[in-house]
Amino acid sequence: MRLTLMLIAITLVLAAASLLVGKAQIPLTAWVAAADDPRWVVILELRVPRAALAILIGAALGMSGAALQGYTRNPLADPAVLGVSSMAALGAVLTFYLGALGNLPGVVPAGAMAGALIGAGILLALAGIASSVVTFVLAGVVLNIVAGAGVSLALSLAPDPWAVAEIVNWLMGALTDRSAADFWMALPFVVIGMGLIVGTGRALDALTLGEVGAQSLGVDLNRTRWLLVSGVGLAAGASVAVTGVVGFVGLVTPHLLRPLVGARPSALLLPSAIGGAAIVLLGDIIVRLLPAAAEVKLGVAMAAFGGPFFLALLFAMRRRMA
Amino acid sequence: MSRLIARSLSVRAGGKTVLDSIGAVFEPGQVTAVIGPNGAGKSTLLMALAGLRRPSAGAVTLDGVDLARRPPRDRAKRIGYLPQLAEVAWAIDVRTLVGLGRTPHHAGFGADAADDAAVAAALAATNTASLADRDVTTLSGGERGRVLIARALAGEPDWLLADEPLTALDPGVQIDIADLLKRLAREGRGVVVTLHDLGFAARLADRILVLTDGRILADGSVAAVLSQDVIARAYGVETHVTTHGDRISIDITGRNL
Repeated sequence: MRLTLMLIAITLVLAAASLLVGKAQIPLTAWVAAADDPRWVVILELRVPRAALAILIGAALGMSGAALQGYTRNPLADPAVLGVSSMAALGAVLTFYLGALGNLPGVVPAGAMAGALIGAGILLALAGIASSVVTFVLAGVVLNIVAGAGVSLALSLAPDPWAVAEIVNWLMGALTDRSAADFWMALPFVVIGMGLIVGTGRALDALTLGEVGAQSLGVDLNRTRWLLVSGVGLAAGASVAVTGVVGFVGLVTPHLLRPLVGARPSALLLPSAIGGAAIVLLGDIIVRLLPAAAEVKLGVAMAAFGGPFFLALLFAMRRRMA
Repeated sequence: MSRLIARSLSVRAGGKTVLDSIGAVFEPGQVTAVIGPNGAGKSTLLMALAGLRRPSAGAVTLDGVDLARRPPRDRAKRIGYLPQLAEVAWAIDVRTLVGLGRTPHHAGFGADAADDAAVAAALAATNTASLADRDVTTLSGGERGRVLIARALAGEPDWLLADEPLTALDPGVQIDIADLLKRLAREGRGVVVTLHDLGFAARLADRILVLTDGRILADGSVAAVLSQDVIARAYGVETHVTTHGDRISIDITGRNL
């Protein structure tokens, strides 16, 4: 509980900082400015939605990662392992082929959500054949590869270089210029998804004893899998839909927090959501502070931070086994 | 207390019959040891008795009700099951691990006073209260074995089914765990274990069931079952069985094919 409160405090501080930084620094004095001060427009229409989205997708990805690691009992799992993120990306990329129709507002996010849910559905069908974690992870890896190939294919067949640039730009994932509409669109899916994930908590704890161990405790593994796949599909899918692919949050966050909650999977869910929000906020602040002509994409920055962490993790695991 | 009964129980896996029409009645208050060569179907029988393997024919009944018809949580409250080489995936502390045994008693989150009392009783019964705050991954094999039994006891089951609970432990710890299982049976629970060590089967069991090729070869008291003839037919080994009062010792003297 103390950890949760501390994480909330950190998140609030980062959220406040997120309102201050950007191409135009807005000092705290602007907060007491008159209502007609033009800086309010920047704060309310750009900064607030951006910070709110960072919190929303960070929470979705952090909790998804914690739940998937709990389910697979594998500290290397994250929403990307399921292939949900890449299927969402594929769904979004395919909308660039819709021509003029693709320019309508909401088409790209709708494509991403459709991709995520189709991905989750395929995964459920594949994983349902044999109820083992290995099948589940393998199904996710295969889905990931297929979706990745689909995105590459879409890029190579793109009719003009502008379309390619647009796709690549979107794939890198960013919170730049997102509006309140994006936030409100993603919110219900993320909230429902996280609710479904929380419903797996006790089953995830029991899975600490393995699949047979959990079944012997009366856990219905099929129900757990349904809850988990639809929860992650909705939460992570909605995140990709509005921000593109932002990786590693789901992998890194549960890791950093696991020792602090005594490693119990259900106790890790909520802190990972809050921690994920903090990490995305932090990442998004850093990309805005970097001295570059164009803003570094959040997805790229997160990968640059997450990649080395992943490698260090592998080395640490190897040392422990040796 | 109620009896656990296998009625013409058959289990098929991968097109092969693993258990073939097993009929056996398990009594509470007793330790029943299931022995037999590798691949005889011991683990499958134990899983089927715990309701974790669906029979292809026949049934396992508890209180006369087919286990397959009982809701999973209801079944889990009655029957505690310890898998072979039980894994513990995360570095949780002993109290949390033992608390997992309470899972079937709850639909939602949280723990209540009954949970705390059951966990404390399970720790006391297995003499592991002093380990309660230790990280599970730092325990020795013997400590771990006792803690896992405490996990099963925390659910307050009438039946405890343990798959190879003595494997990979040193002789002193094997005796500790065997005596613990025996005491749990004396307190009224039904205990069913699979074993490889015939000496421990003789020491621990009130009754022995010998499986070969998914069928029952022999079923009865220790003295009746552990004969040179049965052991030779089950394992293909020559033995010298001697009885000293109520102690039976078995010397394996050679291979007999």
